Amino acid sequence: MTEQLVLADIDKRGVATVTLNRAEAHNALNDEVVGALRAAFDTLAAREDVRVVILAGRGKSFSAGADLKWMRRVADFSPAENKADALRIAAMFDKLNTLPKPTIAKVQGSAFAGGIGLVACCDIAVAAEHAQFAITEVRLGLIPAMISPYVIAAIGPSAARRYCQTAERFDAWEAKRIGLLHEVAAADALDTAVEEIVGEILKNAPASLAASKALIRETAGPVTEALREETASRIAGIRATDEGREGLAAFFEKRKPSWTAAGGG
Amino acid sequence: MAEPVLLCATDARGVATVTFNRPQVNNAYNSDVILGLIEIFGRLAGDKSVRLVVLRGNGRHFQAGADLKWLREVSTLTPEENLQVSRNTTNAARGLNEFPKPTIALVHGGCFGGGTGIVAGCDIVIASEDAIFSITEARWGVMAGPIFPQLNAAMGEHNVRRYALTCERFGAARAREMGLVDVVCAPGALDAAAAPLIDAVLAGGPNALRETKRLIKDVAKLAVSDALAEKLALQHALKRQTDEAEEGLKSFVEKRNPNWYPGRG
Repeated sequence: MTEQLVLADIDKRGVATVTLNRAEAHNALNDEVVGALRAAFDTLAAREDVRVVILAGRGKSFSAGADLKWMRRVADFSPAENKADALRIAAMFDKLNTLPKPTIAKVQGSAFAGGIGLVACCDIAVAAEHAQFAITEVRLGLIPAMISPYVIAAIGPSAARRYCQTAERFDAWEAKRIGLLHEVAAADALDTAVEEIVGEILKNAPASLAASKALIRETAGPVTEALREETASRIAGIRATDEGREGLAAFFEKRKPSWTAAGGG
Repeated sequence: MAEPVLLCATDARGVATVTFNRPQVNNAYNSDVILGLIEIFGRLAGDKSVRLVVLRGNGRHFQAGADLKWLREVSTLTPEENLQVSRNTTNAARGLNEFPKPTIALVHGGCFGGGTGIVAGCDIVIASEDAIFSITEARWGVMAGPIFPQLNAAMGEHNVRRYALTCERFGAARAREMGLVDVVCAPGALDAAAAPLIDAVLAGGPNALRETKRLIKDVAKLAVSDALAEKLALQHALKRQTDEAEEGLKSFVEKRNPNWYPGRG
Protein backbone atom coordinates (compact mmCIF):
# COMPACT_ATOMS: atom_id res chain seq x y z
CA MET A 1 0.00 0.00 0.00
CA THR A 2 1.30 3.45 -0.84
CA GLU A 3 1.84 5.97 1.89
CA GLN A 4 -0.89 8.54 2.45
CA LEU A 5 -0.33 11.87 0.72
CA VAL A 6 -1.92 13.82 3.56
CA LEU A 7 -1.73 12.82 7.22
CA ALA A 8 -4.25 13.95 9.85
CA ASP A 9 -3.77 13.69 13.57
CA ILE A 10 -5.85 15.04 16.49
CA ASP A 11 -4.48 15.35 20.02
CA LYS A 12 -6.37 15.17 23.33
CA ARG A 13 -6.90 18.93 23.42
CA GLY A 14 -8.59 18.90 20.02
CA VAL A 15 -5.57 20.28 18.18
CA ALA A 16 -5.61 18.74 14.69
CA THR A 17 -2.55 18.65 12.45
CA VAL A 18 -2.90 18.07 8.71
CA THR A 19 0.48 17.27 7.19
CA LEU A 20 1.40 17.35 3.50
CA ASN A 21 3.27 14.07 3.07
CA ARG A 22 4.78 14.08 -0.40
CA ALA A 23 8.21 15.23 0.65
CA GLU A 24 10.00 13.67 -2.34
CA ALA A 25 7.95 15.95 -4.64
CA HIS A 26 8.29 19.01 -2.38
CA ASN A 27 4.66 18.50 -1.35
CA ALA A 28 3.47 19.55 -4.81
CA LEU A 29 -0.29 19.57 -5.21
CA ASN A 30 -1.74 17.09 -7.68
CA ASP A 31 -5.35 15.95 -8.00
CA GLU A 32 -4.93 13.28 -5.31
CA VAL A 33 -3.37 15.69 -2.79
CA VAL A 34 -6.05 18.29 -3.49
CA GLY A 35 -8.75 15.65 -2.94
CA ALA A 36 -7.15 14.40 0.27
CA LEU A 37 -6.79 17.93 1.64
CA ARG A 38 -10.37 18.74 0.85
CA ALA A 39 -11.58 15.56 2.55
CA ALA A 40 -9.44 16.31 5.62
CA PHE A 41 -10.77 19.88 5.86
CA ASP A 42 -14.36 18.63 5.52
CA THR A 43 -13.88 16.04 8.26
CA LEU A 44 -12.22 18.45 10.68
CA ALA A 45 -14.80 21.20 10.03
CA ALA A 46 -17.57 18.83 11.11
CA ARG A 47 -15.89 17.51 14.25
CA GLU A 48 -16.98 19.33 17.38
CA ASP A 49 -13.99 18.13 19.39
CA VAL A 50 -11.53 19.84 17.03
CA ARG A 51 -10.58 23.30 18.35
CA VAL A 52 -7.64 24.33 16.13
CA VAL A 53 -6.26 23.05 12.81
CA ILE A 54 -2.55 23.23 11.98
CA LEU A 55 -1.47 22.80 8.36
CA ALA A 56 2.09 21.50 8.15
CA GLY A 57 4.48 20.06 5.58
CA ARG A 58 6.93 17.15 5.82
CA GLY A 59 10.41 17.36 4.40
CA LYS A 60 12.45 20.19 2.97
CA SER A 61 9.62 22.25 1.42
CA PHE A 62 6.24 23.30 2.77
CA SER A 63 4.74 23.09 -0.71
CA ALA A 64 6.07 23.83 -4.17
CA GLY A 65 2.54 24.57 -5.45
CA ALA A 66 0.81 22.75 -8.29
CA ASP A 67 2.44 19.57 -9.54
CA LEU A 68 3.57 20.61 -13.03
CA LYS A 69 3.33 17.11 -14.50
CA TRP A 70 -0.28 17.06 -13.55
CA MET A 71 -0.72 20.65 -14.78
CA ARG A 72 0.68 19.65 -18.17
CA ARG A 73 -1.65 16.67 -18.39
CA VAL A 74 -4.67 18.81 -17.55
CA ALA A 75 -3.79 21.23 -20.38
CA ASP A 76 -4.66 18.43 -22.82
CA PHE A 77 -8.03 17.69 -21.22
CA SER A 78 -11.24 18.86 -22.86
CA PRO A 79 -12.10 22.47 -21.93
CA ALA A 80 -14.87 21.22 -19.63
CA GLU A 81 -12.60 18.73 -17.82
CA ASN A 82 -9.85 21.33 -17.61
CA LYS A 83 -12.19 23.79 -15.91
CA ALA A 84 -13.72 21.15 -13.64
CA ASP A 85 -10.21 20.38 -12.40
CA ALA A 86 -9.53 24.06 -11.66
CA LEU A 87 -12.84 24.30 -9.80
CA ARG A 88 -11.83 21.37 -7.57
CA ILE A 89 -8.69 23.26 -6.57
CA ALA A 90 -10.69 26.44 -5.95
CA ALA A 91 -13.10 24.45 -3.77
CA MET A 92 -10.20 23.06 -1.70
CA PHE A 93 -8.83 26.57 -1.05
CA ASP A 94 -12.35 27.72 -0.14
CA LYS A 95 -12.76 24.84 2.36
CA LEU A 96 -9.52 25.82 4.08
CA ASN A 97 -10.31 29.53 4.02
CA THR A 98 -13.78 29.05 5.51
CA LEU A 99 -12.98 26.16 7.89
CA PRO A 100 -14.97 27.17 11.01
CA LYS A 101 -12.04 26.74 13.43
CA PRO A 102 -8.86 28.78 13.75
CA THR A 103 -6.21 27.54 11.28
CA ILE A 104 -2.44 27.92 11.56
CA ALA A 105 0.01 27.37 8.70
CA LYS A 106 3.21 25.96 10.16
CA VAL A 107 5.61 26.65 7.32
CA GLN A 108 8.77 24.60 7.90
CA GLY A 109 10.24 25.17 4.42
CA SER A 110 9.74 27.06 1.20
CA ALA A 111 6.31 27.77 -0.28
CA PHE A 112 5.80 28.66 -3.92
CA ALA A 113 2.72 29.51 -6.02
CA GLY A 114 -0.18 27.34 -4.79
CA GLY A 115 1.85 26.66 -1.62
CA ILE A 116 1.56 30.36 -0.84
CA GLY A 117 -2.18 30.04 -1.48
CA LEU A 118 -2.39 27.44 1.31
CA VAL A 119 -0.54 29.81 3.67
CA ALA A 120 -2.78 32.75 2.77
CA CYS A 121 -5.95 30.68 3.36
CA CYS A 122 -4.93 30.07 6.99
CA ASP A 123 -5.87 32.54 9.72
CA ILE A 124 -2.38 32.59 11.17
CA ALA A 125 0.93 31.86 9.46
CA VAL A 126 4.25 31.10 11.15
CA ALA A 127 7.37 30.14 9.20
CA ALA A 128 10.92 28.98 9.80
CA GLU A 129 13.36 31.77 9.03
CA HIS A 130 15.08 29.91 6.18
CA ALA A 131 11.81 29.47 4.23
CA GLN A 132 11.70 31.16 0.82
CA PHE A 133 8.61 32.36 -1.01
CA ALA A 134 7.73 33.18 -4.61
CA ILE A 135 4.57 33.57 -6.67
CA THR A 136 6.09 31.80 -9.66
CA GLU A 137 3.20 31.17 -12.06
CA VAL A 138 4.15 33.75 -14.70
CA ARG A 139 7.59 32.14 -15.14
CA LEU A 140 5.71 29.16 -16.58
CA GLY A 141 3.33 31.13 -18.74
CA LEU A 142 0.57 30.60 -16.17
CA ILE A 143 -1.24 32.92 -13.77
CA PRO A 144 -1.80 32.93 -10.00
CA ALA A 145 -5.54 32.47 -10.40
CA MET A 146 -7.37 30.54 -7.68
CA ILE A 147 -4.93 31.73 -5.01
CA SER A 148 -5.17 35.42 -5.92
CA PRO A 149 -8.16 36.41 -3.74
CA TYR A 150 -6.46 34.96 -0.66
CA VAL A 151 -2.97 36.20 -1.46
CA ILE A 152 -4.21 39.74 -2.14
CA ALA A 153 -6.25 39.71 1.10
CA ALA A 154 -3.06 38.80 2.98
CA ILE A 155 -0.37 40.94 1.31
CA GLY A 156 -2.44 43.79 -0.13
CA PRO A 157 -2.71 44.93 -3.76
CA SER A 158 0.59 46.83 -3.78
CA ALA A 159 2.79 43.87 -2.81
CA ALA A 160 0.69 41.59 -5.04
CA ARG A 161 1.34 43.82 -8.04
CA ARG A 162 5.07 43.42 -7.45
CA TYR A 163 5.45 39.77 -6.50
CA CYS A 164 2.87 38.31 -8.88
CA GLN A 165 4.60 40.00 -11.80
CA THR A 166 8.27 39.65 -10.89
CA ALA A 167 7.92 36.07 -9.57
CA GLU A 168 11.08 36.91 -7.59
CA ARG A 169 11.95 35.07 -4.41
CA PHE A 170 11.49 36.76 -1.06
CA ASP A 171 12.52 35.62 2.37
CA ALA A 172 10.49 34.99 5.50
CA TRP A 173 11.13 38.45 6.94
CA GLU A 174 9.86 40.13 3.79
CA ALA A 175 6.87 37.75 3.86
CA LYS A 176 6.16 38.95 7.40
CA ARG A 177 6.59 42.59 6.45
CA ILE A 178 4.02 42.36 3.64
CA GLY A 179 1.54 40.42 5.79
CA LEU A 180 1.73 36.85 4.42
CA LEU A 181 3.29 35.66 7.69
CA HIS A 182 2.55 36.73 11.24
CA GLU A 183 5.66 35.28 12.88
CA VAL A 184 9.11 34.09 11.83
CA ALA A 185 10.98 31.63 14.06
CA ALA A 186 14.30 29.80 14.04
CA ALA A 187 13.77 26.32 12.54
CA ASP A 188 14.18 24.61 15.90
CA ALA A 189 11.78 27.08 17.56
CA LEU A 190 8.94 26.69 15.04
CA ASP A 191 7.03 24.10 17.10
CA THR A 192 7.23 26.28 20.20
CA ALA A 193 6.11 29.39 18.31
CA VAL A 194 3.05 27.56 16.96
CA GLU A 195 2.30 25.96 20.32
CA GLU A 196 2.24 29.38 21.99
CA ILE A 197 -0.44 30.55 19.58
CA VAL A 198 -2.39 27.30 20.04
CA GLY A 199 -2.29 27.89 23.81
CA GLU A 200 -3.84 31.34 23.37
CA ILE A 201 -6.58 30.03 21.07
CA LEU A 202 -7.57 27.23 23.46
CA LYS A 203 -8.48 29.88 26.07
CA ASN A 204 -11.11 31.27 23.68
CA ALA A 205 -14.73 30.26 23.25
CA PRO A 206 -15.26 27.86 20.31
CA ALA A 207 -18.61 29.26 19.11
CA SER A 208 -17.32 32.85 19.44
CA LEU A 209 -14.35 31.90 17.28
CA ALA A 210 -16.45 30.29 14.55
CA ALA A 211 -18.84 33.24 14.46
CA SER A 212 -16.01 35.80 14.57
CA LYS A 213 -14.12 34.12 11.75
CA ALA A 214 -17.21 34.10 9.52
CA LEU A 215 -17.97 37.74 10.28
CA ILE A 216 -14.40 38.97 9.70
CA ARG A 217 -14.57 37.34 6.27
CA GLU A 218 -17.99 38.74 5.51
CA THR A 219 -17.13 42.32 6.51
CA ALA A 220 -13.81 42.21 4.64
CA GLY A 221 -15.49 41.04 1.43
CA PRO A 222 -15.88 37.28 1.05
CA VAL A 223 -14.49 35.24 -1.83
CA THR A 224 -17.73 34.46 -3.64
CA GLU A 225 -18.58 31.41 -5.72
CA ALA A 226 -18.68 33.69 -8.76
CA LEU A 227 -15.11 34.83 -8.10
CA ARG A 228 -13.90 31.25 -7.60
CA GLU A 229 -15.58 30.30 -10.87
CA GLU A 230 -13.95 33.25 -12.62
CA THR A 231 -10.45 32.43 -11.33
CA ALA A 232 -10.89 28.77 -12.31
CA SER A 233 -11.93 29.79 -15.83
CA ARG A 234 -8.86 31.95 -16.18
CA ILE A 235 -6.33 29.27 -15.24
CA ALA A 236 -8.17 26.69 -17.35
CA GLY A 237 -7.96 29.09 -20.29
CA ILE A 238 -4.33 30.07 -19.91
CA ARG A 239 -2.87 26.62 -19.39
CA ALA A 240 -4.29 25.50 -22.71
CA THR A 241 -2.77 28.44 -24.63
CA ASP A 242 0.44 28.22 -26.66
CA GLU A 243 2.26 30.35 -24.11
CA GLY A 244 1.14 28.16 -21.20
CA ARG A 245 2.15 24.99 -23.05
CA GLU A 246 5.49 26.51 -23.99
CA GLY A 247 6.19 27.46 -20.36
CA LEU A 248 5.45 23.97 -19.05
CA ALA A 249 7.33 22.32 -21.95
CA ALA A 250 10.40 24.49 -21.31
CA PHE A 251 10.30 23.51 -17.63
CA PHE A 252 10.35 19.80 -18.42
CA GLU A 253 12.88 20.16 -21.22
CA LYS A 254 15.08 22.17 -18.83
CA ARG A 255 15.43 25.05 -21.26
CA LYS A 256 14.50 28.72 -21.26
CA PRO A 257 11.01 29.48 -22.58
CA SER A 258 10.65 31.32 -25.89
CA TRP A 259 9.85 34.68 -24.29
CA THR A 260 13.22 35.01 -22.57
CA ALA A 261 16.22 36.46 -24.40
CA ALA A 262 18.08 33.14 -24.12
CA GLY A 263 15.07 31.02 -25.14
CA GLY A 264 13.76 33.23 -27.94
CA GLY A 265 17.15 33.31 -29.70
CA MET B 1 -23.49 64.95 41.39
CA ALA B 2 -21.77 62.05 39.70
CA GLU B 3 -18.75 62.67 37.51
CA PRO B 4 -19.61 62.58 33.75
CA VAL B 5 -18.39 59.41 31.99
CA LEU B 6 -17.17 61.49 29.02
CA LEU B 7 -15.62 64.95 29.07
CA CYS B 8 -15.74 67.28 26.09
CA ALA B 9 -13.96 70.59 25.69
CA THR B 10 -13.12 72.71 22.64
CA ASP B 11 -10.17 75.11 22.57
CA ALA B 12 -9.88 78.48 20.79
CA ARG B 13 -8.44 76.82 17.65
CA GLY B 14 -11.43 74.52 17.27
CA VAL B 15 -9.71 71.40 18.63
CA ALA B 16 -12.33 69.42 20.54
CA THR B 17 -11.06 66.85 23.06
CA VAL B 18 -13.32 63.97 24.10
CA THR B 19 -12.01 62.12 27.16
CA PHE B 20 -13.13 58.76 28.53
CA ASN B 21 -13.64 59.50 32.20
CA ARG B 22 -14.26 56.28 34.10
CA PRO B 23 -10.67 55.78 35.34
CA GLN B 24 -11.84 53.69 38.32
CA VAL B 25 -12.87 50.93 35.85
CA ASN B 26 -10.10 51.62 33.29
CA ASN B 27 -12.60 53.56 31.15
CA ALA B 28 -14.61 50.43 30.39
CA TYR B 29 -17.73 51.37 28.46
CA ASN B 30 -21.33 50.84 29.46
CA SER B 31 -24.60 52.23 28.08
CA ASP B 32 -23.88 55.72 29.45
CA VAL B 33 -20.57 55.86 27.57
CA ILE B 34 -22.06 54.51 24.34
CA LEU B 35 -25.02 56.90 24.35
CA GLY B 36 -22.68 59.72 25.39
CA LEU B 37 -20.40 59.05 22.38
CA ILE B 38 -23.37 59.06 20.00
CA GLU B 39 -24.66 62.34 21.49
CA ILE B 40 -21.28 64.12 21.61
CA PHE B 41 -20.09 63.12 18.14
CA GLY B 42 -23.49 64.03 16.72
CA ARG B 43 -23.17 67.48 18.27
CA LEU B 44 -19.52 68.02 17.25
CA ALA B 45 -20.32 67.06 13.65
CA GLY B 46 -22.74 69.99 13.39
CA ASP B 47 -20.68 72.50 15.38
CA LYS B 48 -18.99 74.79 12.87
CA SER B 49 -16.44 76.01 15.43
CA VAL B 50 -15.02 72.47 15.75
CA ARG B 51 -12.26 71.63 13.26
CA LEU B 52 -11.00 68.27 14.56
CA VAL B 53 -11.55 65.89 17.47
CA VAL B 54 -8.97 64.32 19.78
CA LEU B 55 -10.03 61.21 21.70
CA ARG B 56 -8.18 60.10 24.85
CA GLY B 57 -8.60 58.39 28.24
CA ASN B 58 -8.23 59.64 31.80
CA GLY B 59 -6.23 57.54 34.25
CA ARG B 60 -3.89 54.62 33.57
CA HIS B 61 -5.55 53.29 30.42
CA PHE B 62 -7.08 54.53 27.19
CA GLN B 63 -10.05 52.16 27.17
CA ALA B 64 -10.39 48.64 28.54
CA GLY B 65 -13.30 47.61 26.28
CA ALA B 66 -16.76 46.74 27.56
CA ASP B 67 -17.49 46.78 31.28
CA LEU B 68 -17.96 43.01 31.68
CA LYS B 69 -20.11 43.35 34.79
CA TRP B 70 -22.45 45.59 32.84
CA LEU B 71 -22.30 43.20 29.87
CA ARG B 72 -23.41 40.37 32.15
CA GLU B 73 -26.44 42.42 33.20
CA VAL B 74 -27.21 43.22 29.56
CA SER B 75 -27.18 39.49 28.74
CA THR B 76 -30.11 39.00 31.14
CA LEU B 77 -32.29 41.70 29.51
CA THR B 78 -35.16 40.82 27.18
CA PRO B 79 -34.02 39.93 23.65
CA GLU B 80 -35.32 43.26 22.31
CA GLU B 81 -33.55 45.34 25.01
CA ASN B 82 -30.38 43.31 24.51
CA LEU B 83 -30.56 43.94 20.74
CA GLN B 84 -31.00 47.67 21.33
CA VAL B 85 -27.74 47.74 23.31
CA SER B 86 -25.92 46.08 20.39
CA ARG B 87 -27.50 48.52 17.94
CA ASN B 88 -26.23 51.43 20.04
CA THR B 89 -22.75 49.90 20.23
CA THR B 90 -22.69 49.34 16.47
CA ASN B 91 -23.91 52.88 15.78
CA ALA B 92 -21.38 54.47 18.14
CA ALA B 93 -18.53 52.69 16.33
CA ARG B 94 -20.05 53.52 12.96
CA GLY B 95 -20.66 57.19 13.84
CA LEU B 96 -17.05 57.66 14.90
CA ASN B 97 -15.76 55.90 11.77
CA GLU B 98 -17.89 58.10 9.50
CA PHE B 99 -17.49 61.33 11.51
CA PRO B 100 -17.04 64.15 8.94
CA LYS B 101 -14.02 65.90 10.55
CA PRO B 102 -10.50 64.60 11.25
CA THR B 103 -10.19 62.42 14.37
CA ILE B 104 -7.02 61.67 16.35
CA ALA B 105 -6.78 58.99 19.05
CA LEU B 106 -4.12 59.31 21.77
CA VAL B 107 -3.57 55.85 23.26
CA HIS B 108 -1.74 54.95 26.46
CA GLY B 109 -1.99 51.83 28.62
CA GLY B 110 -4.65 49.24 27.81
CA CYS B 111 -6.79 49.40 24.68
CA PHE B 112 -8.94 46.26 24.60
CA GLY B 113 -12.02 44.90 22.83
CA GLY B 114 -14.23 47.78 21.70
CA GLY B 115 -11.31 50.14 22.42
CA THR B 116 -9.49 48.67 19.41
CA GLY B 117 -12.57 49.42 17.30
CA ILE B 118 -12.58 53.03 18.49
CA VAL B 119 -8.92 53.40 17.55
CA ALA B 120 -9.50 51.72 14.18
CA GLY B 121 -12.30 54.20 13.50
CA CYS B 122 -10.06 57.26 14.00
CA ASP B 123 -8.10 58.87 11.15
CA ILE B 124 -4.81 59.22 13.01
CA VAL B 125 -3.67 57.07 15.94
CA ILE B 126 -0.78 58.00 18.20
CA ALA B 127 0.22 55.46 20.85
CA SER B 128 2.83 55.67 23.57
CA GLU B 129 5.23 52.74 24.00
CA ASP B 130 3.32 51.54 27.08
CA ALA B 131 0.14 50.94 25.05
CA ILE B 132 -1.16 47.35 24.89
CA PHE B 133 -3.81 46.19 22.46
CA SER B 134 -6.01 43.08 22.37
CA ILE B 135 -9.21 42.06 20.57
CA THR B 136 -10.50 40.19 23.62
CA GLU B 137 -14.15 39.32 22.94
CA ALA B 138 -13.80 35.61 22.08
CA ARG B 139 -12.05 35.00 25.39
CA TRP B 140 -15.32 35.85 27.15
CA GLY B 141 -17.54 33.97 24.72
CA VAL B 142 -18.90 37.14 23.11
CA MET B 143 -18.40 38.80 19.69
CA ALA B 144 -16.41 41.72 18.34
CA GLY B 145 -18.69 41.87 15.26
CA PRO B 146 -19.61 45.57 15.26
CA ILE B 147 -15.95 46.63 15.04
CA PHE B 148 -14.75 44.14 12.39
CA PRO B 149 -15.35 46.51 9.45
CA GLN B 150 -13.09 49.16 11.01
CA LEU B 151 -10.46 46.64 12.15
CA ASN B 152 -10.31 44.99 8.71
CA ALA B 153 -9.74 48.40 7.12
CA ALA B 154 -7.08 49.47 9.62
CA MET B 155 -5.07 46.25 10.18
CA GLY B 156 -5.92 44.12 7.16
CA GLU B 157 -8.08 41.00 7.18
CA HIS B 158 -5.18 38.56 7.69
CA ASN B 159 -4.09 40.34 10.88
CA VAL B 160 -7.65 40.57 12.21
CA ARG B 161 -7.97 36.81 11.60
CA ARG B 162 -4.98 36.23 13.83
CA TYR B 163 -5.61 38.67 16.65
CA ALA B 164 -9.40 38.31 16.91
CA LEU B 165 -9.03 34.52 17.04
CA THR B 166 -6.09 34.32 19.46
CA CYS B 167 -7.10 37.37 21.60
CA GLU B 168 -3.34 37.80 22.18
CA ARG B 169 -1.97 41.10 23.44
CA PHE B 170 0.26 43.14 21.16
CA GLY B 171 2.27 46.31 21.70
CA ALA B 172 2.42 49.72 20.03
CA ALA B 173 5.27 48.76 17.67
CA ARG B 174 3.41 45.70 16.36
CA ALA B 175 0.22 47.80 16.06
CA ARG B 176 2.13 50.32 13.98
CA GLU B 177 3.62 47.58 11.79
CA MET B 178 0.09 46.39 10.95
CA GLY B 179 -1.33 49.88 10.36
CA LEU B 180 -3.58 50.19 13.41
CA VAL B 181 -1.24 52.84 14.88
CA ASP B 182 0.41 55.66 12.88
CA VAL B 183 2.89 57.15 15.35
CA VAL B 184 4.61 55.67 18.42
CA CYS B 185 6.03 57.98 21.09
CA ALA B 186 7.63 57.72 24.53
CA PRO B 187 5.32 57.27 27.55
CA GLY B 188 3.91 60.62 28.60
CA ALA B 189 4.76 62.26 25.27
CA LEU B 190 1.37 61.91 23.54
CA ASP B 191 0.61 65.63 23.55
CA ALA B 192 4.02 66.52 22.16
CA ALA B 193 3.64 63.88 19.44
CA ALA B 194 0.13 65.08 18.57
CA ALA B 195 0.95 68.81 18.41
CA PRO B 196 2.53 68.88 14.92
CA LEU B 197 -0.22 66.65 13.47
CA ILE B 198 -2.96 68.82 14.96
CA ASP B 199 -1.19 71.86 13.54
CA ALA B 200 -0.94 70.19 10.13
CA VAL B 201 -4.66 69.35 10.10
CA LEU B 202 -5.56 72.93 11.10
CA ALA B 203 -3.57 74.13 8.07
CA GLY B 204 -6.00 72.25 5.79
CA GLY B 205 -9.22 73.83 4.54
CA PRO B 206 -12.17 72.55 6.58
CA ASN B 207 -14.33 71.88 3.52
CA ALA B 208 -11.41 70.29 1.69
CA LEU B 209 -10.81 67.97 4.66
CA ARG B 210 -14.48 67.00 4.88
CA GLU B 211 -14.66 66.25 1.16
CA THR B 212 -11.35 64.36 1.25
CA LYS B 213 -12.44 62.21 4.17
CA ARG B 214 -15.73 61.47 2.43
CA LEU B 215 -13.94 60.55 -0.80
CA ILE B 216 -11.57 58.16 1.00
CA LYS B 217 -14.57 56.57 2.71
CA ASP B 218 -16.37 56.11 -0.62
CA VAL B 219 -13.36 54.90 -2.63
CA ALA B 220 -12.18 52.49 0.07
CA LYS B 221 -15.81 51.48 0.88
CA LEU B 222 -15.35 52.25 4.57
CA ALA B 223 -18.99 53.04 5.35
CA VAL B 224 -21.11 50.32 6.95
CA SER B 225 -24.54 50.03 5.32
CA ASP B 226 -27.72 50.02 7.41
CA ALA B 227 -28.31 46.39 6.46
CA LEU B 228 -24.82 45.30 7.54
CA ALA B 229 -25.07 47.34 10.76
CA GLU B 230 -28.34 45.63 11.67
CA LYS B 231 -26.83 42.22 10.94
CA LEU B 232 -23.73 42.96 13.02
CA ALA B 233 -25.90 44.20 15.91
CA LEU B 234 -28.17 41.16 15.73
CA GLN B 235 -25.32 38.64 15.77
CA HIS B 236 -23.61 40.59 18.55
CA ALA B 237 -26.79 40.54 20.63
CA LEU B 238 -27.65 36.87 19.99
CA LYS B 239 -24.14 35.68 20.87
CA ARG B 240 -24.30 37.46 24.23
CA GLN B 241 -27.35 35.41 25.23
CA THR B 242 -25.81 31.98 24.59
CA ASP B 243 -24.67 29.50 27.24
CA GLU B 244 -21.11 30.00 26.04
CA ALA B 245 -21.22 33.76 26.71
CA GLU B 246 -22.82 33.15 30.10
CA GLU B 247 -19.94 30.84 31.02
CA GLY B 248 -17.33 33.26 29.68
CA LEU B 249 -18.65 36.32 31.50
CA LYS B 250 -19.14 34.26 34.68
CA SER B 251 -15.56 32.98 34.50
CA PHE B 252 -14.41 36.62 34.40
CA VAL B 253 -16.38 37.58 37.50
CA GLU B 254 -15.28 34.42 39.32
CA LYS B 255 -11.64 34.92 38.22
CA ARG B 256 -11.30 31.36 36.90
CA ASN B 257 -10.69 29.64 33.55
CA PRO B 258 -13.82 29.04 31.44
CA ASN B 259 -14.95 25.44 30.93
CA TRP B 260 -13.67 25.32 27.34
CA TYR B 261 -10.02 25.80 28.36
CA PRO B 262 -8.21 22.45 28.55
CA GLY B 263 -5.12 23.89 30.25
CA ARG B 264 -1.60 24.13 28.90
CA GLY B 265 -0.45 21.31 26.62
